[in-house]
Amino acid sequence: MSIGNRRVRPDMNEVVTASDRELWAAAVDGDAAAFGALFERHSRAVYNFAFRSTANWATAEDAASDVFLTAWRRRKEVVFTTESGSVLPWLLGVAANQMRNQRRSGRRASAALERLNPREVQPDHSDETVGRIADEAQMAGVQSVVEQLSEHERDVLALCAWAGLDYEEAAIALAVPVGTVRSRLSRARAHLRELVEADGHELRRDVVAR
Amino acid sequence: MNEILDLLPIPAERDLPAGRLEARRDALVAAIATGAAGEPLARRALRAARGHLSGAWLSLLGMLALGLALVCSGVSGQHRTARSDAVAVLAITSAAQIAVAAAPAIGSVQVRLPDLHRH
Repeated sequence: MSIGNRRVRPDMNEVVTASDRELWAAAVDGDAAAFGALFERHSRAVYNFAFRSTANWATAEDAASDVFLTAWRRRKEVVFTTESGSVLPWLLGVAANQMRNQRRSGRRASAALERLNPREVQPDHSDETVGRIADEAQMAGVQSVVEQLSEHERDVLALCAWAGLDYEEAAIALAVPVGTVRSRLSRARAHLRELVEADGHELRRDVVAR
Repeated sequence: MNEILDLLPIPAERDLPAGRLEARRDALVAAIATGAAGEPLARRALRAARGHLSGAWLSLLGMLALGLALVCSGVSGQHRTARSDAVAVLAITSAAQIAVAAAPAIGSVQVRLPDLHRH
């Protein structure tokens, strides 16, 4: 794989120093290895973003792969407009859309999935199992609160407060003006405060304790 | 943003489980290199990288096979009817377990791809 004057080894085990912009340009030209390098760079952020929406690490792992498959198919649509030149906001936008669709279709399947309980059917035998199960319980508690927000409020909350995007990046992810991101986040913050205060501090304590 | 996190703390970020990043990356690169990205097969292959046929399932299937073998070999000809019934029950149970373990949708959520608006 060759990017500009630099050469990236195709085994991809070497740290890739090329920018997102350069790697993406190579990917647009059909370079799968360059896209693999982008996966290595951003999959963690997408994985954690998906987890906050699903409250399930295994599902989040599948969702992260699906996001990158979608990104590959739509790679020619990306326009780098931020100063950082990072493709992450766009990837998180893809992820947000997928999570939204999953929530809609998931409602129908949730009862069946609950019965199957994949965590019991397919236990993860890694050392982190206990911590991951605790994460899932905590995130499920957070989700029970966040689900009371509107879809728009949830999206800006996940992108700005949880994934750490700034307003401009969140605007790219959601394909809306920056001002819209500001107002949605402001509403989300106020709404969340109301919800937490209305349910008392026990709600928060319960979430933290899970 | 801190105010939101103070109101409602969330778990800390985690890496993908050990070895999964590489497995997922390799599966992704293989899928797109063969031009199969977007095909259902590619998605199934990526999910397979997570290892749906877990050790627990394989152990269960192994025990069932062992039980079947013991029944077949340990029962005398006088108990042919009982042996046949036991073999039939075990065979049906094993088939059901294999079907459940091999089903690609079990243990994962099918994610529908959205139509992205402009970016």
